[in-house]
Amino acid sequence: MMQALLNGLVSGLLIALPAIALSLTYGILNFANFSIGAMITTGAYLAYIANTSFGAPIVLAAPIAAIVLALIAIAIQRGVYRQIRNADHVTLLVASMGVAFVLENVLRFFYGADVRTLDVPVARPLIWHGLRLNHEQLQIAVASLSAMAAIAFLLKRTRLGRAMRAISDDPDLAEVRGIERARTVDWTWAISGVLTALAGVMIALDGIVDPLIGMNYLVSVFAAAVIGGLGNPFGAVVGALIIGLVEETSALAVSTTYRQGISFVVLVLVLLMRPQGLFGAVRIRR
Amino acid sequence: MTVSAAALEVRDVYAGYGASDIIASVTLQAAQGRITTIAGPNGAGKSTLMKTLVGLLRPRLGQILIGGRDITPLSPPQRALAGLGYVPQERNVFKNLTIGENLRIGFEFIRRKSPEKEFNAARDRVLDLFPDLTARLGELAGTLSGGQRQMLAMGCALIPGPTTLLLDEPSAGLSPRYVTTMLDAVAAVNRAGVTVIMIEQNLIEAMRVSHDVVLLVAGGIRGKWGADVFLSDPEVRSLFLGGAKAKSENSGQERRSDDASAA
Ligand SMILES: Nc1ncnc2c1ncn2[C@@H]1O[C@H](COP(=O)(O)OP(=O)(O)O)[C@@H](O)[C@H]1O
Ligand SMILES: [Mg+2]
Repeated sequence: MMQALLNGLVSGLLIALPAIALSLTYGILNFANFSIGAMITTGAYLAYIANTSFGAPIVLAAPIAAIVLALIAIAIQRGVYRQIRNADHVTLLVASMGVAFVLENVLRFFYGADVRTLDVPVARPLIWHGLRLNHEQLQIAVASLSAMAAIAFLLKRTRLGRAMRAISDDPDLAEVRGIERARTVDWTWAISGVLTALAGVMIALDGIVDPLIGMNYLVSVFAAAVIGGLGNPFGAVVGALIIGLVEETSALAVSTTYRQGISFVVLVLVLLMRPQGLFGAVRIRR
Repeated sequence: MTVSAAALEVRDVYAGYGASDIIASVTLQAAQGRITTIAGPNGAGKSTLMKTLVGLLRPRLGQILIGGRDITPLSPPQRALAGLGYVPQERNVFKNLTIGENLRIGFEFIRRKSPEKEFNAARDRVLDLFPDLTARLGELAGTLSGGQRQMLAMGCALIPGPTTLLLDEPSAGLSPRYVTTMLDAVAAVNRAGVTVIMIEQNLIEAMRVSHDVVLLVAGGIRGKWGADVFLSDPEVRSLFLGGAKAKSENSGQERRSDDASAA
């Protein structure tokens, strides 16, 4: 049981990164980015390419993947979402499904459906009072916590972070106060790209690389972001930890193939009790 | 006093929210260093005109100039950088950010290059004007009362040091004491050299501090008066006193449209 809790915590930290990304883009653009799963997959492949084709060690391959995915995300924003920015949020959601489809099929075209693995040295797990924490889990925990601290600092203490929160609160007022919306939106996508790429790399580290790895996390990520109150990145972290813990502890009782179904049930239960998500009420909308 | 140069000039502007124009053929000049009040019944298009001035609405036709410079093509942030300050009628603070953050945001994107020292000095000036805010800098702006929220909104518009200030009903919904405080603050800001253009419904109080008045009815300018004679003009009296029934019907309409836009 303790082992399952530990695994759940690590899994939650992993889900937290794309959940934060989803929340940030939702808050600023007012649509749910369905392509977040495909972005995770793309991040994993970018790291795989840097790692195996160019021989970069993982500490180098991960930031390369993050930067490249950030640039791809900005390109998609300018090429797709900005073109239809006045459309309603359903249209934008459908557009992001299209983006997901294209990303996944480009990867499939070049790399097929084969299962691949990163070239990383195998390290012995840490054992402490019978609890196992393998090397990949440790990396996930450290990378995720650092990324979260960086995001919290960015949102609370920097000009860009305040611009993002201001636009999320009231886009018209933000413009009147001198905030350039297009530039802030570009930065938001870049941050979203970095966070999802890191998640992709960590998933790949802990297992394999194939065209569906991101998709497998889609429900968990959405559940985490919605439970936290969409648009609230701090809530998304709590939502992710809840989802991680529930998924791992439920694996003690039911097959792991039901993992996504379990997330979905938790999501529905939370929404039945609090339609605005756990931290939705903290935000003042009126 | 001789006629001073126009700080803000509107030339034959048409604007609206979709197919039809809400304001049509609006031409007006706001004199440098003075307080110009835009009066008119509910639904006349006063807020629409002001949104067009700050760039949130694009005019279908016409030009807007500040200090003789055509700013019609500029975006709202560019107009803010050009010295235009604005307090919207509603939704005028970031409710989920703290009062301190609201003030900082009011400053930092317009005065991008200014050091922290200048921000602190500007913030202290705003807090001198509105001391009620001082003790609450760390609280969310959404927790403020109506009057305090209005003061914060005003402070945010003032903090970067605009040359022209646009105020959409600064005293709306305030208790009588706050109305006086607010309009006194407007007068003080104006004495410090800022040109003010404000929309007001509390006309008697507004005339105490205003210099010029323009009247907007059904999307068109009906004339310009000195503030001292405006309320004694028979046409104005009949519009605001005799026209009370039409006005209340309009205000019902206004409320419905506000609810729709908030949803
Ligand atoms: N966002 C909007 N979309 C469509 N119509 C609007 C919007 N805002 C205001 N209107 C309409 O424009 C007209 C003028 O409104 P407004 O400029 O707010 O008047 P005022 O400020 O003089 O009371 C009203 O008929 C109102 O219903
Ligand atoms: Mg109005």
